[in-house]
Amino acid sequence: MTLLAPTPAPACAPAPPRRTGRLVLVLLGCAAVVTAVAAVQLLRGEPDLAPGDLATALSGADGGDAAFLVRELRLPRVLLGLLTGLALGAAGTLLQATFRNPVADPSLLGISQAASLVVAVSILVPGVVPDLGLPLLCLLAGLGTGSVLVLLARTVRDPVRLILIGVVLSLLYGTLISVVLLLAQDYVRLGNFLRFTTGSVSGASWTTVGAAWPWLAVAIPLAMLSGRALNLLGLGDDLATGLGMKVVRARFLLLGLAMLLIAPVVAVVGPIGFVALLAPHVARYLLGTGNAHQVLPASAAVGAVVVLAADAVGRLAFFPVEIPAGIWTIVVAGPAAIWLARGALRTAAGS
Amino acid sequence: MRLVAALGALAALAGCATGGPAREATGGAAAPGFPLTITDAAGREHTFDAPPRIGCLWFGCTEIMADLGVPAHAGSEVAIEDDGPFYYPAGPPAEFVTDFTDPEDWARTGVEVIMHRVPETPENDALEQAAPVFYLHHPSYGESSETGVAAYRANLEILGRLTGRTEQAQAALARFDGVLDGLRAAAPPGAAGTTVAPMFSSDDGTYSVTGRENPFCVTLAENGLGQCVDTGDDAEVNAEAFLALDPDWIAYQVFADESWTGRVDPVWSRLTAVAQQQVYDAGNRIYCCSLRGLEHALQEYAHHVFGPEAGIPAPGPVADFDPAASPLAAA
Repeated sequence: MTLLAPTPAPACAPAPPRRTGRLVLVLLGCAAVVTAVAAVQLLRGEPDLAPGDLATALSGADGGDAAFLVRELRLPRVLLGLLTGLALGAAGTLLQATFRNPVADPSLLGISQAASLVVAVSILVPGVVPDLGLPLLCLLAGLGTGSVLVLLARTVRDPVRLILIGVVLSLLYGTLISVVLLLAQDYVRLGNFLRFTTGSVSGASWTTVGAAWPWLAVAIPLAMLSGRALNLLGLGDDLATGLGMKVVRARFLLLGLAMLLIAPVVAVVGPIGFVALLAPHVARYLLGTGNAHQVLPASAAVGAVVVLAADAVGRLAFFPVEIPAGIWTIVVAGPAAIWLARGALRTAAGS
Repeated sequence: MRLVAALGALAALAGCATGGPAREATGGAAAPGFPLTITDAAGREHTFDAPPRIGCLWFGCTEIMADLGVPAHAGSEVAIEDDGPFYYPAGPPAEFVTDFTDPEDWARTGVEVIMHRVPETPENDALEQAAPVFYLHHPSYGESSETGVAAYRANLEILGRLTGRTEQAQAALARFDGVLDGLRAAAPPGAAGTTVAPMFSSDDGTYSVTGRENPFCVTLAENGLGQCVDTGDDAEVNAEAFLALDPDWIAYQVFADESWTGRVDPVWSRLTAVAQQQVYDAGNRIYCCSLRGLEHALQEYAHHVFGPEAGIPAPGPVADFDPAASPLAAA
């Protein structure tokens, strides 16, 4: 087992091995890291709090400044980071299985850029996009792009070509975003959008958590139930069809689910890069299996760890200056993504 | 006779092609001090036989030209429309360049020099096809010898020499010093201890604050008018750290039809400045780019922060701000 290989199940092979004990260990490990990072985020800041003060603030007994900092600023930020990571981690697994491509990622496939274009227009040219709420608009933009990719996936089965199509779509949206930026006259709005493009949870509040939560509360549990469909797709389209799966419809549904995970995240915190790409690979590596039933929760948990850790570094490394979490995920995960892409291209060339 | 008429017609056409009457705005007959050899902020040497027709790519240039009492021959969209530059009463440049990156567009206007600001970038080299690019100083960008308020002063002197209007340049410098005198005289006791946060508007609950090295902040501190909160360089500051700084005043810099009154986030309502309504919409003139822009920002600050007892009127919109008519300058 390598970190690179998605380990598709061989045809006519028995179901991928269930390693429940390992899954529990991975989830417990991730939970421990999440708890530790969350504790640091809740305790450190201006001012630092003693553990006793934190407990008092969380219990609701104290309504003072510490309670305000913890309940209104630090806790929503931790929760938003947690939700973002869970969603991106799960979405990465869905996308990679749906497109049967180990480097599938919302950014590489143009999905994040489509949503970013919507956000760019809404920030920089107010009044142009209909007032349906950013999560819904991002969902529609992402679904449009994803649908093009799913339809193309019926004829273009080469994973590298599919990624290239995604990259072209990504460039197209990037160009359109540049046009919007060039037309924008307002430097503050421009600054707001540029900050958005890096992906940051620094503006977290209960309002932003509330904007993302209803979508993710539906999408994350649904994603956890899609393991069987992902495993069938992993067998290949012909075998999946032979086993009674309507492959195209399943892909559309899974893609829609991935969009439901990605859209509210992009709308609220921006496109945090590479989490969706790396989390599934780390999960498979830790689990030692590609069984989607197990990879899905593990990938979500790894995503949560990555986003929370990136946000903690971004918040505390140069305090009080904020460095967006998206910068750190790119710094850390970018080189790893190049490594992954190298492996994928080598595999494709070999086939 | 026909030849003379034809030459006359050609001359008239040539005049139209190069902007004709507007040439008198900044170009024209030889002036004292020419030919002039002058080094720009990027260290490039330029020689002019006569005052050149000036094209302003950067709005700091447009504003300085107004201080010299003459419009630029041409201005880019950036220099004319964005942020509402101060060109009262000289008025806007005669020629408008829609795409400031397009040498052809600049060549059409007949400018003889294009005024930009440091840093020098390869992208601007293409503009040299239309006219030499002259780099002015910027208070914080690039690596010019003059930064902060000194950059504004140096730019005024440079453009004064280029236009042959050194007296007007000196008058504008003296006016600025007069404004500082007026502000010091009007400042109430304890003004030096007043803290202000010049922050950029945001609708996502974040706090981006102008650094203390900004000319506005430096001028406040050096003249005992107040002090900007210390957040390091221009950056997004952690919201709870901003709450801990809790400035007495917030100068809320907006670029469009926005206002701090529309801002809703948990920290905002807990700030002393917000609770005491000590927040003002500062337009966009705090961070940059000329003495008259700085004068507008300082008068706006003093009008709000010094209180009605100081009797400093609001400077009004930038479009018709006349620093020479400011009561501070008169004082």
